[in-house]
Amino acid sequence: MEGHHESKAMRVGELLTIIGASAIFVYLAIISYVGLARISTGSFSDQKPEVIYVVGEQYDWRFIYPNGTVSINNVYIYANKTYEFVITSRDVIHSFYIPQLGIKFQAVPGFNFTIYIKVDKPGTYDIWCAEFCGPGHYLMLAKMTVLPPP
Amino acid sequence: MAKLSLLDYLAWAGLVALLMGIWVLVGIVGSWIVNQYIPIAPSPVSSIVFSQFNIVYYSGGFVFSLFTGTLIFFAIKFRERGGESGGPS
Repeated sequence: MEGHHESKAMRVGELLTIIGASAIFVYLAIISYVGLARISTGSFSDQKPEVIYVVGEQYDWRFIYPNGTVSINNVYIYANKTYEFVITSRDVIHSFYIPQLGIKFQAVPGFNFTIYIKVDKPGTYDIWCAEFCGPGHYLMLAKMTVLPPP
Repeated sequence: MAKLSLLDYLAWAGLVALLMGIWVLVGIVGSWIVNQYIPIAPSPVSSIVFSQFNIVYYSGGFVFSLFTGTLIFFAIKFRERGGESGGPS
């Protein structure tokens, strides 16, 4: 009888472990999907985003504004405004990384990848290349300057 | 199967709680150190990214503490003692 109770208790423990672990995984999957969908589609903001093209090339980041202005290694945006960064590369694969925002996206030649950016506070933030792209990879740095809203 | 006393259960829970506490402390200290060099920009994007990181980190810490605490507890509780046959008493 004691053996029966012990095996039943072990069975309950096994089931609890399986169900508990599954529940944690399902929860993480749901919140990750929802969060990623919000970032990928820009649905965290109701504003119509302004498009800025980002072109990575050895070893600079070029930013092309809607009016055709090109800025090298510096991008200027306004706080509290949503921007759509369309990222590509001219030569090899780079990775567009803003550490203070936790955003990183590959810049692949021939492909355009879109990310949405909105920063609440003026300041200067780093942009790094996060994919080894050649001997000057460590020099491929840029700055994102967030200006006060107009 | 060996019976565990109330003290055993308390020790088991205490060990799990200790490991979880260490995990949380490492997370807090690590975040503080990183924030000194790369402060997080206030943004809806960064809040989504870093809140998800924290959720994954602490969920992982909970599971780790549970299983590793149990492992350590069982390894000590049912260790081989000199002069006795192997296995739980």
